[in-house]
Amino acid sequence: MANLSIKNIRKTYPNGVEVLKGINLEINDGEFLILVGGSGCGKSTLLNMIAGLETVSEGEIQIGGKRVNDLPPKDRDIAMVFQSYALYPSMSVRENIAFGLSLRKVPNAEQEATIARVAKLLQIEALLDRRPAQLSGGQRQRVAMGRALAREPQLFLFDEPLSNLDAKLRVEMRAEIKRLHKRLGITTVYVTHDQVEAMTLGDKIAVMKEGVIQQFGTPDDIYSKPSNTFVATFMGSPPMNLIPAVVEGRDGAGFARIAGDENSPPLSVPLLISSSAIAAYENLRVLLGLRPEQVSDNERPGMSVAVELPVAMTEVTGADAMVFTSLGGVEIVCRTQPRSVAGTDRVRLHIDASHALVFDASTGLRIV
Amino acid sequence: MSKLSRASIYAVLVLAALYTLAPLWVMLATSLKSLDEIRDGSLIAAPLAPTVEPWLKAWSSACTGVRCEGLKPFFWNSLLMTIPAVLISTFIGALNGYVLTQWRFRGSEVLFTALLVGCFIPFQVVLLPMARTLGMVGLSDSIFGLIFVHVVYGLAFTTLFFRNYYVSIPQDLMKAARVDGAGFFTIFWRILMPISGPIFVVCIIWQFTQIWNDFLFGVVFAGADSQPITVALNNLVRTSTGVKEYNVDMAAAIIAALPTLFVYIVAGKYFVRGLTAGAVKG
Ligand SMILES: Nc1ncnc2c1ncn2[C@@H]1O[C@H](COP(=O)(O)OP(=O)(O)OP(=O)(O)O)[C@@H](O)[C@H]1O
Ligand SMILES: [Mg+2]
Repeated sequence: MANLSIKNIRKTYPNGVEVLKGINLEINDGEFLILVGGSGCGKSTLLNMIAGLETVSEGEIQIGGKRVNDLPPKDRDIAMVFQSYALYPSMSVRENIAFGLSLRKVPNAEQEATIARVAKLLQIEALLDRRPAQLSGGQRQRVAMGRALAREPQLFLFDEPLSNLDAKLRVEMRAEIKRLHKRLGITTVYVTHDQVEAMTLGDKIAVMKEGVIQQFGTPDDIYSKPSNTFVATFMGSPPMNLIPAVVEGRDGAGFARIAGDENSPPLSVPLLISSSAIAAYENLRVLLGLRPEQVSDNERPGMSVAVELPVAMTEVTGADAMVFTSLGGVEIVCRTQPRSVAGTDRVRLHIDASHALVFDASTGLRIV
Repeated sequence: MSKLSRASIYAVLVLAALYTLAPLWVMLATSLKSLDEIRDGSLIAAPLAPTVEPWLKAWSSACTGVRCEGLKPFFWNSLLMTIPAVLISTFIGALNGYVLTQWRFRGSEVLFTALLVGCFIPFQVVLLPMARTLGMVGLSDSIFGLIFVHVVYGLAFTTLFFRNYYVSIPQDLMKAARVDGAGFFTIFWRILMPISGPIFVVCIIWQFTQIWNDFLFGVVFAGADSQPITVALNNLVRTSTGVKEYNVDMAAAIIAALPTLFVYIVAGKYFVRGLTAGAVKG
């Protein structure tokens, strides 16, 4: 068991491309860190560096307080699931799982017990004697998980381990991973593209973009206080609406003024900011950040601003209806109850201003 | 496809097969005839009174220069030379391919390109430098010298084969093995070797054919006692004691060609499979 500390890590591949540009992360013993970010932003690279499979160009990695920069993978006491499964093609599932154990001289009886345990856990008992080539994508992924779970290392590294599973199995495996993590308490770094996985599994989330960490915090922080527009739109589905506005002070209160267009009237949304902040930001061009559920048919007395908007399209997703409309010249998505929009082409919505976020339009950084 | 076009395709194929097999047939038929029958009969006629006399003579008593012990001693020479040379060059080629694809280092691509150039160096060019090298390391005129020459010369090819085969193996496989605690040779033996069957077959056939059939290195670098069968065959055919014994010559030629034929028949189906095998799936 160990904490993981990543200090100012940089990675430049031999072809001269700088893939990671100064990464700092710190997680405690037993914590679950999620890495998210667009394709090619360097998540796998970072994971490989933690594992010792890629050299560190600059900076320091510590596992359990010990610098591991120059330690080979096998001495770091880690287990890893690869994005491409990386099962040994000539070995059966059983041999794949046992390979690491036998190299570590685990007694045979213990190996057998371990194989039985992970096979049961991952529902691959029937596949133990098959070769990887005889498995489906999802089955391979589970075997890859099994290979990692066969050991109890200091650190688990998972690179999108559930990306190829069907929805049902994915939910099951997600719950299983969570349970396992609760039970074993092993520090984990987990790469995913899946919002729900990120929000439900993570103790901490690091959102990356082009080799830079955009925000590092708890799932709640990331969701409710995104530090910039990238994080705001990356996490959450459908993404947060960003509506161009201008900060305005009136009678000691702050507002975000949204210009009107042919569809919607001009609008002033009250902001919860201090008078000094009003003075500082007066007339600044900003983006007003509203999650779809903050523009709904649900009125909150005192903090709501009502507006009537044309409906461009609706998608009913079970309990909710997603209403696509436009406000301030941009398309926005609102989450309402299906009956509010049934058969109408205009809908009356309430903007919940109490959780509205404000981003500087030129830098993208959050100011409120 | 119509019956007619199918028939004509088969006709062409059969003709091509006959054309290719004709020389073999002539050799085989001639080797089983007595000298009298050869003189009187037609070239392509089947032997009327087949005899194995020419084969026995070619194997154990025909004269190759001053020695008259047939091809037998040289056949063993060739085996003693070819088998180790094939195995060593194939094995080193496999290691080279493994390193060049899975343990890339600064300059590994340059090294590979340089090795490729080795494939294009004609035998004649290396004769003199190689002779000097063999002299210096004390391997002149011996089977070991020949083995050494063939290993060195074959490395460019075997490395090329294995590199091109291993290059399609995903890096993540190595990474997973390293995390599991496998080192350089463990990965090679336990993970790469078991999936290398087809390319081993290709490489062994190629090397066996090259080395067994080589004449130039044999004639230049072998001593009188270590000459390979190709050199002996040449001597046998050119040594005449009065009358030219075509039947013995043919039998000797077939004996000299048998091992390569054998290797092709045993491993041939893997040969094609290995040459066309692209990615390693699963
Ligand atoms: N061996 C390498 N040599 C050079 N560049 C590389 C190498 N491996 C990866 N890269 C580059 O580094 C960048 C980050 O790659 P990485 O695999 O870490 O992305 P990722 O965040 O895992 O993406 P994905 O979500 O698609 O898996 C990419 O632009 C990639 O092209
Ligand atoms: Mg990746």
